[in-house]
Amino acid sequence: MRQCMIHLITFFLFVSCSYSAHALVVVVGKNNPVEALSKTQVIDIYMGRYNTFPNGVVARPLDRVAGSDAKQKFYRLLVNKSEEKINAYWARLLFSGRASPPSSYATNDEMLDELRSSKQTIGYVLESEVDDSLKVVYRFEK
Amino acid sequence: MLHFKRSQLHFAACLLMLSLCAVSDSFAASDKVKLNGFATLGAIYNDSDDLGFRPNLKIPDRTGLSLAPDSLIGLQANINISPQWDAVIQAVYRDKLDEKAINYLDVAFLRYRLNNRLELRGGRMNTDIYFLSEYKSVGYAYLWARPPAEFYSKVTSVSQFEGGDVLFKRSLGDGFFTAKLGYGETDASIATTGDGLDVHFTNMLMASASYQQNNWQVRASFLDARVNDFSADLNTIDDAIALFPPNIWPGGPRLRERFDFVGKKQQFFGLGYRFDNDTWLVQSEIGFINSQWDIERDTVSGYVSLGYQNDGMTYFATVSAVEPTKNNLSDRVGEISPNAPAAIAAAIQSFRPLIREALEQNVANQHTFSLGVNWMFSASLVAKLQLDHSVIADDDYALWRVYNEPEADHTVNVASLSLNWVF
Repeated sequence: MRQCMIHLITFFLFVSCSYSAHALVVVVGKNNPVEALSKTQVIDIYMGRYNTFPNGVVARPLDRVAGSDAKQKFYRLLVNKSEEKINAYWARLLFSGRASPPSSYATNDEMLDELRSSKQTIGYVLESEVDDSLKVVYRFEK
Repeated sequence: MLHFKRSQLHFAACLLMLSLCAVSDSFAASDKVKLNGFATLGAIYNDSDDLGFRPNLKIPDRTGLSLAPDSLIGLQANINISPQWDAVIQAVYRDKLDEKAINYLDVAFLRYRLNNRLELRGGRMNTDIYFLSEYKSVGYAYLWARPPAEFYSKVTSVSQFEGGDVLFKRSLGDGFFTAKLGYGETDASIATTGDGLDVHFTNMLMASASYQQNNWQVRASFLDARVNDFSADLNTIDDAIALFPPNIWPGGPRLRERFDFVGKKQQFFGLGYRFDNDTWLVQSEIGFINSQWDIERDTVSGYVSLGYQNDGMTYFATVSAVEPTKNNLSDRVGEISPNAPAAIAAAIQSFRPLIREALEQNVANQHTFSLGVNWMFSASLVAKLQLDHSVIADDDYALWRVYNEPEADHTVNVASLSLNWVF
């Protein structure tokens, strides 16, 4: 009976850790003074409403590779919109001259390199991708 | 021939646009400039030989099969000069009545961001008075083959302006609020039921407010513009009045004043609502035009569009309508002296049919039912198919070019197929 309980606890821990590792978090470079953002503030930056962090420093949002699971999941969690809707939204903002869409990269590694090297960038990564060079500023509620 | 008295504001705007082109060129090699574009390859088939179809009053009409009305290509440069300053230049090549090179620049403005909430712009900009006003050329970005003509066609004559505006924006509750105030002037070459005309609007004052939450948006707008010049002349009425001195026809000068356009105001009031939950899409706008000039009749116009979205396809239906609200305009010739000989009085009265004709020549009264499908083919390509059935009341064909006067309550069918890219 005791061994069975240990197996059960181990299983739940594994599932929990696995879920956490695949959870998306919003991050900035370690040198960025921003410590935390609200969901509204993340929306403001990623949907082109404001082009700065709350402290006034210019914010450069970065996107994952187009069509990737991470990008689709991020926008579902952020504003509950499909990637197609986000593309149309940005076409409206871009060609109305209001704002430019987040920078996108051919590979996730390029995006992560840019994220780590600049104080102005903000991105979203899997929890498992966070290392000492990145700082989590927002976690989506489970 | 129209001789515009160009104001200093107009010259300053042109100078600024040319400067922005030069700045764009010098920045082009750096990462401070982002270049993007959009294009539409669209075919229409208009089944009427009597009425020429045009998407709005700035575009030449077509009958039969044509690629001209909807096809276009646009390029845009976003130039980041500093965190506070940036500029946007957008050039669109398409079929249009006005072929002056400078007017292929739809947008060319310099912007200063005072802080996160306030932005100031100067140059040539789109007039932000309806939902699609700032991206109406970007077919990829909206549902239909083209904006509903009943609502959008008339107001396209003031769809751009040279001047300045200030934008205020802030997060409010769970949504986002924006308000804009602008001032400027514009030239436009616009179509009529016959030949095109040039018009110059000054003292354009624009205000708009919008509030958006995740799935819905509401907006309200106002525009006040004054007609400063118009390429139509009043020679016929001047000649007629010159034949009869004021002591014989005291109503003559009053009649001329009624038809004169200089200084007459045109006002637009608009309301809009949009809902989109990724399955259902509803968009509706209503607009009122209040005109001090009897030739441009007061109108109410609007549309309701419903769409169902599934797996990259959106199936939609739209009803749109426009009709005049001031239908009792008098065609009386005005006061005639009681001392006038009967033959002279009869000659003056004979102008009534001409007055009635002038009052009726620019009336739009019609409605259109549209069915269509919008297919997001890839992340950068949207295909659209749309069928429009328009019913034009009486002989109020102001949104069409009239080749042959058709019978009353004429109907026209227009089919549209288009491919729309962004790049």
